[in-house]
Parts: sequence; structure tokens; C-alpha cells
Amino acid sequence: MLSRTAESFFWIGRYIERAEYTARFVNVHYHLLTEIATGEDQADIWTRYLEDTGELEDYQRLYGDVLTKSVMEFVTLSRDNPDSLTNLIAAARNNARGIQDQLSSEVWHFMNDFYFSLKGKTESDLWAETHDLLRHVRNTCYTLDGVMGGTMVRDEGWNFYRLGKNIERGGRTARLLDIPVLSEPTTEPRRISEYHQCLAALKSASAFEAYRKFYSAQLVPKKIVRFLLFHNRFPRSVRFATTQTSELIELIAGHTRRSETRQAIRLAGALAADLEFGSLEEVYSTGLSEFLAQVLEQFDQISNMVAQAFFRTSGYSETSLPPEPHLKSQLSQTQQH
Amino acid sequence: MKSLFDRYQMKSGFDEIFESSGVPRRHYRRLVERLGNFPLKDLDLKRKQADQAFLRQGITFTVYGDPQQTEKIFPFDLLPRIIPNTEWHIIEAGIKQRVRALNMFLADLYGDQRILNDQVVPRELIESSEHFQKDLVGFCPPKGVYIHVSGIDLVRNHEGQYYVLEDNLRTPSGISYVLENRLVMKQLFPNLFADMQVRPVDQYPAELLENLKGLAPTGKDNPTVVLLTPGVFNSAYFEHSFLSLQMGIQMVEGRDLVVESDKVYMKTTQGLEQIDVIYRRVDDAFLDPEIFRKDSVLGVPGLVRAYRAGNVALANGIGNGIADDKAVYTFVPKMIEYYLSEQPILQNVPTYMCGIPEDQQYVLEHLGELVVKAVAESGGYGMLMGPSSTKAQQDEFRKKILANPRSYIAQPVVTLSHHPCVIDGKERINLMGRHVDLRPFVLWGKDITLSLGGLTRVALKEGSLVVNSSQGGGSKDTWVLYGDE
Repeated sequence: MLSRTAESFFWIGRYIERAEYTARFVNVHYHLLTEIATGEDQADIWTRYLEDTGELEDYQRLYGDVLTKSVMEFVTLSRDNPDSLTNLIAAARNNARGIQDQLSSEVWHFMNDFYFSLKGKTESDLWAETHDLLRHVRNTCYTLDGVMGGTMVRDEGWNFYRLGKNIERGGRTARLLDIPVLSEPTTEPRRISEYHQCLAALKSASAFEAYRKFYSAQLVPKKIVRFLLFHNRFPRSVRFATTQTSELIELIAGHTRRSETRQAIRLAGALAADLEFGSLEEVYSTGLSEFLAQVLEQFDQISNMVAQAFFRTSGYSETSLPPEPHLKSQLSQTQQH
Repeated sequence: MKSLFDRYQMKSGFDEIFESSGVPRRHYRRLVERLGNFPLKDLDLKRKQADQAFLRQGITFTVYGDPQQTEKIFPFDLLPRIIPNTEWHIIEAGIKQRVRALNMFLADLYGDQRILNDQVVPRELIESSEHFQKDLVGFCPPKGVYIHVSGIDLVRNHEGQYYVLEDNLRTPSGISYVLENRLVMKQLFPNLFADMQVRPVDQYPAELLENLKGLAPTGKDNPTVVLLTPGVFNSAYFEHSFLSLQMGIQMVEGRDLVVESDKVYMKTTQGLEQIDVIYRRVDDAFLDPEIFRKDSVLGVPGLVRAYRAGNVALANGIGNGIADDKAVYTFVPKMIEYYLSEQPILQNVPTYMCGIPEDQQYVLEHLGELVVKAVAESGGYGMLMGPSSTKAQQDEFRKKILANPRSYIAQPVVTLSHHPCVIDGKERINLMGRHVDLRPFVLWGKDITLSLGGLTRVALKEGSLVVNSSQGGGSKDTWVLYGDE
């Protein structure tokens, strides 16, 4: 498979997963927290979120103070935020467009419908149908995964798509855990807002119902951390994602074992083992925040090595897709009939 | 009985469907009968279904110069254009003759240059053109073929006479619309095809692939053929992915390829894989930054070296632009006589070359009556439509011509034939006449073959004579019949 094609599959997986997590997070926090949290708490929650996702600087430059209303607009519809829902879906669709000849037509048509369903949305649409809009994005991401799964050949492209999805998923779940109320093993949520933050963390990973099956409805920070980090059968736990990542890289590597490939296998294997054999004691003795930072750092290294091993780009490749503005202007100078 | 066509108001000029008496031409009679019973509102519904199908499938083009990078569908008109078989044979023969002569012209220019030495075509005209690739003089491409794929634009005047308006010998696009239009028409009007005796168009991708494979350097049984695209922002990107999919070949961008030891490879997840034939949809200027534009990021450094070493075949060849130059166009009838000793079957539109003093004087005196075109432009950009132009526009072109006479030609306005189209009215849709042209696509392999019919483009703006998609043009399904009615 062409390296560029593989890279596009990988990024479709990442962008769609990122959109899904964003939609879910925003929906959960908007509905759960804005009713009960003070303005200050709300600002804390959003600030931490934007910091974790790397969007804070852009946000502050454009909007200044952190206010629920402007953050919501920024992460959903903003043209200026590359990680807004509309831009993520456009980016996924743009990648799909570049490999249209490799996708099932069902996937391509579905992706197109998805893109056009969001393209014309304005801020007044967002406020008129907040819940519906966010649910639409989340559900369409789920459905897209189903259309992919139901129509795509299980070839390299499929594996790269899964790989991108799992790397993104592991990182996103890890970020959800990085909140003060979870950071001490002995804490019990006291304030109603703390209780709701625990609930929101679980719901943001669509994990509340699954958690309840294992631990009853009682929200214990320690148990939440254990569940979202280490659970071996919940598909959005960090461990689950690292195991998948490691298996997929092995599968993709096949028999060619260049040094970059071996390195990617090693990094992914190490991270999977860390999560498989890790314990809560270890996590809290390191400090939850530090532990999560290490996990994210490892995911980054894996991404980098995957790019070097298979995409033949020198490093992190997020910026190489789509083409930069100067390229667009050159493209428009080419001959046309 | 009331017919859909009762509401159609004929305009002066040549109408494709109706004779001036209002009677449908012989080859349209059955269509007028069948479609006549169709309620207007059903036609509107069908049209919406067609638009939706095109949008969902991403059959769109990008509007250049638009900061939003808006994608538009190429408007599709439901009423098919019909060409009777006898008429088609004439067109076919005329186009084959023309393409054959043009290929001989290219082989000659990049070879012995007899036609220049014999002063049939002025040497200065060729050597002053940026499209003439001097570096390639003396290089002969595989089997001497330059024009593997071409699109020849035809128009009809007020008497229905066919003329060649333009030759497109570089990277002509539009064939995907021919194929998709037919598919959509079949979905919308399955019954119509049952007894209309329409010749199929769908053999094109298979023929193209076979021709491409035939170009592979000798000894390759199962050559690797790829299509080289400039990428998703190119206005013809849909077509590139469509053709790749239809032919079952890999679509690549310049950044996917690398040249090592004068061989071309694509970068795959499992290493480098050698490529034998490239159907390139990237212009000469962007093809290889080692030779052409240094700043090109669309091409592949070293590609021309590999081509000259015979390790990779390119379709189309390099340097074709010199033969579809709008100034060189004037000489095509002479080429046909010179190389083939035949009379041209299809005529040129009379053309004034601003580089020739007496022509220039005539053009400047008649700017209000002529169409002035920049030689280097295509896609309907850089034109002056004399009769509808303002004084200021004329003055602007006068300055441009005087500053750079070689870059402009002028032609009398041809009153293009028109064809009834479904057009939005104030309250409901209506049938109105709109100007059309025809671009048959020509493949050169073992033989020269034509797509059956080709792309009929429509100038959907009332009165407009410009059919290019970038200028508000649309298209129609084009039927060549097995017979004449």
C-alpha cells in the first residue's frame, strides 16, 4: 500500500475518534455541569480541557476569557480551530477524498453526507439544538465505524485506520482522567460538583454504564481510575487501546523488519506491558498526573515511529495533511479545461 | 395531446432538436414522443435526484480563486443530445484525421522539423512558444506516440455545420462526466433506453488501460501503471480518482514517487515499488522541478531523466502544448494537407493572429465583433467576447494585444447551435434553448478510437457562448445512435 494512503487511513481513524470524544465530552459537560457548577468551576473545567487538548493558546488568542458559551462555539463550529468538530470532520473527509479509490463507495458517500450535514451549521443552530447536534456527531462517528467495519476489506488500510483510532482513543481516555478530584486515592467526592465531575469523566468515555456493572453506582475515584486505565475488556480503557495498538503494529509490520519497524513494535509492546502489569499503587506513588503524562508521551513516540516506519515522513505528520496554503495556490495554477 | 415541448420557444439559429418549422429532426422524433408525455413536475423531481446523486458521490469540481474552496457539482441537464450514426461517422473520420496529423506534427517538431524547414509553419511561431520543449528535440517517445489521450472541441454554427474550436492534447478532462452522466440517465429513465438504440460508452476505461499497458518498456508482462494526480485541490480530481478506480490502478501524487538510478518508484508501506507507465494528469510545467518549474511540489524530481532513459512511459508525452496552442491551431488544416495529402474533413473556425500585422490591424478595428482569446489560457479565462463587451474592456484588450501581439488570437463570433434545456423559471421550470458544444475523447493505442459521442457542454446562462464549467457551464448525456432515427 502507498505510504500516503496508509497515512490517510491512519488519520481518518484519529480525526473521527477525536471528533467523537470531543462531541461526547462537550455534550456531557455542558448538560451535567453548567447547571450545577459555579462560573469559576466551569472556567476551571474548560480551561483544563483546552489545556489537555492543546487548544488553550488558540482559544485565548481568539476569545480571551474562558466562558462556557465561547468555548462551546470554539470546539464545535469554529473555522479557526483546527480541532473543532467541523474542521475535524472536514479533515477526515479530505483524507478520504485523497484515497477515494481505496474506500468502499459506502464509506465515501457516508463521509460526504456527514461532511455536508455539518458544513452549513451556524452558531444559532448550535444553541437551538445543542444536544441534537452533539449527539448527531457522536452517533455518526459510531455509525461511520460500522460502515467501515461492514464494507472494508481487512487489508493494511483497515489496520492503519484501527491503529489511528486506538492511538487517539488511548490518549483521549488518559486525558479524561487528569482532573483533581481523581488525583488522590483517598478522596471522596464531597461537593456536588465533584461528584458530577466523576460522573462526567465516566460518561465522557461512554463508560458509566459499564463501570456500574462492575462497581455498582457508587462513584469512587480510585475505582474510576482503575476502570478507565486498566480494565481489560472495556474498549475505551487505556489498557485496551494499548493492547490493540501493539497488536496492530505487529500485524502491519508483517515480515519486513527494518529498524524503524522494530522500534515501533518495541515501543508499543512496552506501553502495552506497562498497562497490563501496572497497578494503582504504582500510579499513585508516581502521581496520577505524571503517570498520565508518561502514557501520553509514549503514545506520541509510537505515533512518530509509525510515521517513520510506514509513512516515510521524518516525524510527526499532522502538519503534512492537508497541504499548506502555498501548495493550494500552486494547484490552482495548473491547467484546466 | 399536450406535450412537454409545447412550451418550448424556439430561438433563431440552429436548434439541435427542432427544424425551423418546429418539427423534431428525424433522430430526435422518438425522444420527443416519449418525453413529451412527461409531467413537468416529475422532470423537476428527476433533476433534484440527479443533483443529489452527484453531490453525494463527490462528483464535484473546485472553483479556483475562491477562498472557501467551494465544491460545486457540474450542473447536469436532463435532455440528452443525440447524434445520428451517419453524422457521427463524419465526425469520427474528421477527428481521427486531425489527431493523426497533429501527432505527425509533434514527431516532426521534436525530430527533423521538415514542416519548419519547408516554411509551411513559421519557425518563429514555434520557437517563441513556452510550450515548445527544446530539450526534448531528438527524443522519440515509445512508438512515436505523443497524443495518447485528447479531447477535440467541436461547435456547430447557425447552419448546423461542425467546426473544430480547439484541440486539447495535454491533459483534457471530462470523460468521467460522460460515463457518470450515462449512469445517472439510465437510473432516472430506465425505460427510455430500452428502445432508443443508444450505443454504449462504457468501454473507455478498459481501452485506456490496455493502451497504457501497451506503452510499458519491453519485456514487462504485467506492467505497473499508475495515474499521477496533482491532488484533491485540482478541479478534475474527481475524474482522476474515478478513472483510477475504473481501471483498477493506483492513483499517486508527486510526493508518493521517487526517482533512483533513472527509475521511478512509489513509496509503499513495504518499501519501494517500480513503476512502468504513468498516466499523468499533471501539466508539463509542474512535472519535474529539475527541468521545468523549480518550485513545483506536484511533480517528481528526475522524472524526465527516467522518461528519456526509457525506463518509464508517460501518457501524454511531454511537449504536446506546442500543438494545441491557439496560434498553432490556425495551421492544422495545412498540416493535414502537408503530412497526409488529404483535405481536412472538419473545418477550423477562421482565426486572426494578432502576431501578423494585417490580422492585428483587422482585429483592433473590429474588437466589438470578435472573440479575442489569450493563446496560453484555457478554461474560458482571459477572453473578450466582443459583442457583449464594454468600451473599457475593449480598451483593456487593445492594450494587451499591442503589448504582446503573439499572445492573442481573434475569431468571428460563431452563433453556436442551441439545445433545449430544463431551466429554472420564476415559478416553475421551463424548457429553454442554450448553446452547446461537443468534446469527443480520442484514444491512441493500436488504433485511434473515439469515445462514442463525448461530452456535450452547455452554456446554462442565457445567451452565453462560454461552456466551461468554471464559467457556469453544465453538461448533457450524449447519445450516438446505432442508426439514423
